[in-house]
Amino acid sequence: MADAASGIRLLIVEDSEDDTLMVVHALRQRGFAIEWQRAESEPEIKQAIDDAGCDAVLCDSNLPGYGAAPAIALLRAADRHLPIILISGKISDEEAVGLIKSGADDYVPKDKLALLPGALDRALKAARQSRESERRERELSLLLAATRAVSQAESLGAALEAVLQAACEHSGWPIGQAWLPEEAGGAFRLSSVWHAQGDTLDETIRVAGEARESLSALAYKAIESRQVTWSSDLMGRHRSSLRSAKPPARASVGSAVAIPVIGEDEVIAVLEFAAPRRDRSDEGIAGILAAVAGQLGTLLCKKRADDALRESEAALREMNAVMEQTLRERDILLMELQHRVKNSLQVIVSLLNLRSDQAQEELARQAIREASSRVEALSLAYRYLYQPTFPDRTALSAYVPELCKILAELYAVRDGQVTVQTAIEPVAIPIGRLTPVSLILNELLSNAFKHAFPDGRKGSVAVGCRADLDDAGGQVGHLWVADDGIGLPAGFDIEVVTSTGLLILRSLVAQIEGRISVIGDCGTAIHVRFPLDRVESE
Amino acid sequence: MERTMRVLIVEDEAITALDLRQCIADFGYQVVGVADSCVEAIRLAEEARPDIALLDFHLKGPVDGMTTARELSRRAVRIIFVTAYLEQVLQHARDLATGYLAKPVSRRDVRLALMDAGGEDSDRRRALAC
Repeated sequence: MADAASGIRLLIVEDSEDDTLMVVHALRQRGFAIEWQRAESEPEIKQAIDDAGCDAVLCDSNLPGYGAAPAIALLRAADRHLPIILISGKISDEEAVGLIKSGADDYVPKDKLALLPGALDRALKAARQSRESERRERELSLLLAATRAVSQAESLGAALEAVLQAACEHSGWPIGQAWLPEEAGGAFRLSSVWHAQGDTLDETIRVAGEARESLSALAYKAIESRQVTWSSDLMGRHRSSLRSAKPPARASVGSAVAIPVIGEDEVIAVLEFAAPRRDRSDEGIAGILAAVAGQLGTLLCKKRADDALRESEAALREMNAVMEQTLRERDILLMELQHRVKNSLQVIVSLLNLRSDQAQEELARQAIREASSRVEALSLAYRYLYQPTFPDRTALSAYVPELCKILAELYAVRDGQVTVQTAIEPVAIPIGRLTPVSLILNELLSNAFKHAFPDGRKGSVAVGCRADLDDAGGQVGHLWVADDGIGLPAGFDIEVVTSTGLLILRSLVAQIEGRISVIGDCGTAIHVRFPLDRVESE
Repeated sequence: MERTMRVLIVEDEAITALDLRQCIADFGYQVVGVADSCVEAIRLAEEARPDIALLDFHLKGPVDGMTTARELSRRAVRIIFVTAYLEQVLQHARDLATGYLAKPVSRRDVRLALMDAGGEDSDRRRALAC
């Protein structure tokens, strides 16, 4: 017989020593290796269960003083899988049925003890099976509960709390707690995340508290080994306080298990439980928890990565907001600056106008008007070319006709006397060169209007701007003004002429690193080419 | 015979105000006063009964050009804005404006704007506009 080989611990509830020996004999005779203990009163029975426990109970139906029914009820309450076999003397069938109902698994008459070995064997097998299936159910239920809890938890704390609670509820372990790494260094501290249950809660916490040093040692062992780690001698040096504790609390910290939670190759927490018995069922639960801890580790790492991502996204959003604000402020400042420039230009124009009013000589008035027209050219450049945002590539084509109007008025060109043809292509002129370019156009057009068509001579002026590439692949801008007027005086050399207008022109062209070429055959054509993509130092 | 247009100048920049006054007078219109604030502008509007005001949109002092424009409008004064803040005028005060001039402004533009407002005959306009 399978069970015959192993030592079966029997509790025999029997008032008669002789009957007890008879029962023991009947079993040993059939090859059962048994250790036994007899009890006949309630205190004795309780003592036996608390101290050593047992694998099965044989209970006499006739128990003077206490009674078989209460004894069976007490045992059944202590362990619902415990095999209890009633050994009956002379009792009625009704009595036997009553006792079976109070919790006995089987019934063997005293005068047919030969049936006992078979009955005990069956009862042990049935108990083992029901224990096993209950264990499986519990493990499965724990796995489901813990997995669900972990996947739904909002934070590490919540996830740990959920796992601790699920583990305690499914295992019957009275206390569970978590260790978390300190912010800095390799130390772990006992987290506030813990779960305790049961009637002996206060006592358990007290005893567990006294065993803290041992618990911490266990946690560190688990951290080091990265394995589920058991301690069956939990109390260590705290035996004295253990002895003073009530039995259930003492049992509750009899052994403990520590389960490391590993994520990204790093222990990120340790779950620790007081597991009173360290039986097969406890080890099964610990195995399940180790699996859940694996999930927890992965999940927490993912969560941590998500949090980091969210944080960096938030930081990015904040940075963007700051940048947008800065840009807005920059735009406002730029606009304000432009308004001030415009107002200042207005004052300069006004000053020149007023000075011109007072000038007595026509020559002086003309000189002031020319100066004024240069300021107006600048003002126009401001209005058309320097937009609050960025210079508009097409702005030059709006600027040039306006400039021509001003110059025609200045030089008293009659309506219809001179036609202007513009061929301004959209060219991206570097912002630092807009002012010199606009003034160059002013000088070139001024020259044409002032000198090319004396005495009401009719004609036309062509003005243009375009871009192309030079031999080295660099962007080159071209400006030109050509008229069909009277042409240049004989021996004209732009490099030696000292008139203010041409001096200004040469200086401006030099400023944009350009070159001037002049054709003076029929009429006058002046062409300026300058680099567009030079790094700006202006 | 049409009566000479009466012009109020509302401008807190003295040099600019002086230039505008000279330019308008030379052109043959009557400048009835120069104000450098909203309060002064309203006082002059009531006292001198101008037909039109050249109004700087941004004035020193607590009252902005918007309010000044509204007050002048209520007193049947037409308004030509003369401003470096043209985009703001276009955005906020379009209904109140008879015309706009973007600073810096030339005398020629001032005269054209006044002629537009006064409905001057086209010959004179053409002569001036070239």
